[in-house]
Amino acid sequence: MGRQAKRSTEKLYLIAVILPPVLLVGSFIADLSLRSRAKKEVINQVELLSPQVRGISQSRDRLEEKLSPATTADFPTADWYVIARSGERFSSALVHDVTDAKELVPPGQEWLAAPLIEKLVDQERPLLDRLSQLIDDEAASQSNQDRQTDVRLPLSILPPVPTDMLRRAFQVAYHRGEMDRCLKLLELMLAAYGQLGNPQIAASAARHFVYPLLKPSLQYNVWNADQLAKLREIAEPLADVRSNWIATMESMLARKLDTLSLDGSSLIDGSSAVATNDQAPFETDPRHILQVLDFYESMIAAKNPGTMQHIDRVREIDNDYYNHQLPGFSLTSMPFAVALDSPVGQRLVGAYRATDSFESVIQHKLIIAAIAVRQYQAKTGDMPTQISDLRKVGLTSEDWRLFGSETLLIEGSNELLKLSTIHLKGWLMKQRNEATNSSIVVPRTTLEMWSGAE
Amino acid sequence: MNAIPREMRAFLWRDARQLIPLVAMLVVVTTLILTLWLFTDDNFDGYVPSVWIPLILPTLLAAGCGAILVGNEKETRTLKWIASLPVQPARVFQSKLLVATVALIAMWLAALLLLVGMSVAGSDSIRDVASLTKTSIPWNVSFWVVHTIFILVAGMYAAWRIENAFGSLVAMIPIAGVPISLATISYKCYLIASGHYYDQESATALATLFTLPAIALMVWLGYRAAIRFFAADPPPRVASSANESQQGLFSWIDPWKPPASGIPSAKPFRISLATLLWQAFHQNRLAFIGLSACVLLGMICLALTATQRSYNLVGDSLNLFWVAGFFALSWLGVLSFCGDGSAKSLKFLADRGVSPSTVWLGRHLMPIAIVSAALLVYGLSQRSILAGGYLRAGPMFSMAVITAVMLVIYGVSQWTSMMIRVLGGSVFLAPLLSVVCIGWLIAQWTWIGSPVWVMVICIALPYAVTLMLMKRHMDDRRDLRFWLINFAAIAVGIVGLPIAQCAYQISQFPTISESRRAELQSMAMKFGTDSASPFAIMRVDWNENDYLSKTWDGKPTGQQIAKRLDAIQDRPQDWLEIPSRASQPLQFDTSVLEASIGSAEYYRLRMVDDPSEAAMEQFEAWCEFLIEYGQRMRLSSRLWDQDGADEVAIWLTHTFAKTEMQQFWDRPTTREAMQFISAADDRNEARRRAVLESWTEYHDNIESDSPSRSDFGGYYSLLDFQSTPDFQRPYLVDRRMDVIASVAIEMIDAAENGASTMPMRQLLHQVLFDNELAFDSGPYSDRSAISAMSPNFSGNPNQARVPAVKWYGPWEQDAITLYRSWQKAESTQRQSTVPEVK
Repeated sequence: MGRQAKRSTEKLYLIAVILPPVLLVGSFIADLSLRSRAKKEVINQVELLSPQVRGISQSRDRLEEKLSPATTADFPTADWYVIARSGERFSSALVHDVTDAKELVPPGQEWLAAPLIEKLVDQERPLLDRLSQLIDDEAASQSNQDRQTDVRLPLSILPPVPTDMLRRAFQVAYHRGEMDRCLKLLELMLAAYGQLGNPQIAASAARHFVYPLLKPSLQYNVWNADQLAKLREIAEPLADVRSNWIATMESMLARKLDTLSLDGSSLIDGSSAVATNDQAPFETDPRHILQVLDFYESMIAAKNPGTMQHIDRVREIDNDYYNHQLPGFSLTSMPFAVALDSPVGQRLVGAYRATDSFESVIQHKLIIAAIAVRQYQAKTGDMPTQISDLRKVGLTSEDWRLFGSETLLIEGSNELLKLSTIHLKGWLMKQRNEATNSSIVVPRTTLEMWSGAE
Repeated sequence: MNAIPREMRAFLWRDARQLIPLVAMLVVVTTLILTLWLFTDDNFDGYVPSVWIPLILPTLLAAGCGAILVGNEKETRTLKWIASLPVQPARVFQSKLLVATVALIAMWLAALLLLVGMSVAGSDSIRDVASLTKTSIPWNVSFWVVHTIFILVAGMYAAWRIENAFGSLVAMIPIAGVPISLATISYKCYLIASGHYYDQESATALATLFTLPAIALMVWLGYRAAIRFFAADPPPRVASSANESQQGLFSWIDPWKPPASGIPSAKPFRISLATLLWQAFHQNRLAFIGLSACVLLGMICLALTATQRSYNLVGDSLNLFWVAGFFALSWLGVLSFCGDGSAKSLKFLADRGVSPSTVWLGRHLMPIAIVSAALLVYGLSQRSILAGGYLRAGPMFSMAVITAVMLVIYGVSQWTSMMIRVLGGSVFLAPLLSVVCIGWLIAQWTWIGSPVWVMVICIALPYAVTLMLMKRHMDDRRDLRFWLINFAAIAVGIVGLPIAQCAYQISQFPTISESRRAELQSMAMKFGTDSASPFAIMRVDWNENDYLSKTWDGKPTGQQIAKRLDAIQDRPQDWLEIPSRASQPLQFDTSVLEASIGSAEYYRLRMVDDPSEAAMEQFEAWCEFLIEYGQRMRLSSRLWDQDGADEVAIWLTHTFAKTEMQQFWDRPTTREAMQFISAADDRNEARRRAVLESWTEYHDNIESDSPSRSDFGGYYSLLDFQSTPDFQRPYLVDRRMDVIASVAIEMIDAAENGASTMPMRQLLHQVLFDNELAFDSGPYSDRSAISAMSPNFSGNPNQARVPAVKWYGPWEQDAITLYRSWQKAESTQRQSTVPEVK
């Protein structure tokens, strides 16, 4: 009996001593096994993703081929690059130092920078003529296949369009009251981006380069009815928010993959392959990569970009990721248990981009409404008194509805009309702080529109 | 000398001898840390106050004296033997106190000498030794002097008072903090009551004031404890009644009773692993349970520190607990081979032929179980903290990292305890050596770049060594071989292997042979190194002579600039100050070249549209400037400027190859351009000279330690190594520069002989982008070579420029083809203009 008790005590000692190391080693083995399974899954998922990500590379390669043929014999008479370079000569660089150089000044008003800008624009007129010719040639020669391929080039790779030169020409034409020329320049700018890149580039270019010229130009009654109709044509198809959202997220995903040392991701920077840093155990935990892929997949799949529901959904995805998940929690990661390389740095980027998408829709509605105001004025001789007056020029309530009960607003007099929209970021901030301070006024941004030309 | 009684002299001699190993160990450890400090001075100075290094000597001696002089003698029972001699106990106490005090004074003298030496050497932390007496408590040397005396006497008291040597060491830690804690509390109460501000000098003075009487108190208490120790043991109480006898007290008859179990066990002694575990545990049961609890608690607190609660009371307490856990783990390691009766019990097992490996396992299994349990606790705490989402926690180390750290602490500590059998020595040295070893492993990972297998060997080695030496340890044999194995493991395994592996990694980086170096040197000698330094092209300052008056916003008006533009002809000299001497080499300035090509392109397009004489002159002015710029960059001895000259040649080739430009082929400017782009031999010669001079100048700058050594022929980016560990960089930079120079020369030779330059480009890619970028994506690929676009667009925009990217690209063949076409066209034209001779 005594010996049996002694033996059971011995066993107890041995079990108590052996169990913790066995559990520890077992948990390490289980972790490594899960890690290895996740790694296979990552390879499969990246393989599935690669056509989208590689599309960025193909688009970039085609652009480079177009701009820089392999031998001198292939060089066209005048190429894009030459025009872009000519716009960067010594004298054109002087505009950065001049007062009011970036202002859009209406006809009849004093413009301090005018003598220099006009001089430069006169010098550059042959360059713009060449650009126009080049666009026509490109349009004629471009194969159908190129047009049909839906590839998205991120804005970080801007084709060499002489945007500054085009902006200067627009400023001068506007100041001189040459509105047909202004219209042509806007079309030229969009066509240049459209020809060198793709429709998405043209859409992004519109927001970045065309709206900042078009919007202030509508402050004065300088466009005639035909020109306004043309402006509506230019501005209306630009809001391809869904494609832009997908392009933005894919571009962010590609960059993310780049930081995770996955092949195919640094295509954005022009590399067709990347050396992988695969020296275990210092690699990024594949379970974390799976989470990142899921995160971006959810972001890309978020419905109705350019709406308030979309912003809410993106925030939900963000919150779910940061508050309810362990970012790549691992027992065997080196050196940290959770991946610090999670999209933490981009935490606000998702919501920011979603807000940005919606802001682009709002700005687009504002531009269309502003053109419609001028069309109404051209048609009736008076400024509209309320937003619903714009039905007379073909706008519907959908065109001025923003979200919920918020709409574009028209205020002011026949002399000075104020067309205003919600300032989205301010509105969101108010919504966030409403519980603590309900007296915050909903912020709006206003476009002042004078009935006259000056 | 005769005044000292004879027995006292004997005691002094004996106690002094006992302290020698501790002093020797401290000297070795301090030397080791000092050596590490010297190596890492630049990296860690300011983070690790170097004033602590000399303080190790007196502090650890003070803390260890009690354990060595009293605790160790209690364990070996030599004090009991002394007690049986006809000597006064006070003499034993006085002797030990005197020897300890003298040793402490000696250590302080050595420490002060070190401090002076380090301040002379210019450590940031010790600019002036005198100033260390005026700083706040942790670094105040004068306070430390007093405090070490207190630690010494407190340690002596604890050792006399407490039977268990390890217990006395642990008990000394809270006692050591008593005076400073009392002083701090009193001072804070005073500050609250008086409303005064904290003054570090007053705080230090008060702490010293509290410590001085505490020293006297500890000496008196120690004396009392010593006298009590030497006093005769009280007689055993004899049971006076049956009731007391039942309670376990002896009666006078008890020793004469027969044993309760008359029949001895059939198997009186079982050497199973479980028995050994039992023995390991029960030998130091209290210490074992206490330390294990500390380790477990420490692990929970370590996981909790990541909950971003630092910088408050809770955060500070958490830090305190995990630091306590660290010491506890280290002491668990020490208890493996040291501790009460450990030597005796091991000898007992050795005498009975128990396998050393079984005993080794028996000593380690229990602590390893504790470590494993602590790690599981850490993992579970971490998991539960992170379960609420990432934002709840800051960065926390993974279980694998903590496992490695714990294995290092425990491993180093158990090794220390095998080498140093004196408990007092091991207890203080083991945590210190563990920290040094962890630091060394971190340095291996981040600084030296050791691979994982090397670090695994470093972690496993302490265990392997103790297993190997277990038999000798059990037999208490500490012969030469024992020390040689220990020394070899440290020198070869811990220190040598990572360094050797690093040296091997460095040796694998491409380099050039000595003969090739000599060849390059002799080639460089032919060119000489007396080329004129290239001048920068400056921009004309339009604001000079107040030509442009400023408006309210500090900018000129368009009218002013337009007027100025009207006054100039828009020629290169209107914008640039070009050094007039034609033989003066010029520097490649990317912005100047871009804007000049922009101006040239602008006038070229104007000229093509309207080929008037005026338009041609304007284009030719810019084109001639660019040709001259290219030619004068060719004269430069820097690689950077040669690549600038190539950019000019590429532009000229592409420009004059255009069909629309053929109508201007008869112009003198075209002739100049053709001469420039077709001069392949001159181009090769200029490149060769630039490579050799850039290389020679780089090495000359290194030898003269010139501040301009941070470039190679104008390329600063070549000295960057993105993913290479810091320690390897200085050794790789020179190799990289040698290879670039050698390969560039090989490339020129290959091109001259009509061979492919691909192998050279691949080697250049390897030395500049190894493991960071695939060749096809890099600047030396065919794809990059054929691109005529600016590097900012054709490659990675963040990628810095590198040399010889466009060398022998397709443009050079195009230049030859263009030159031949031009020559042919010119000779045809000449023939058609020569009057027919009849």
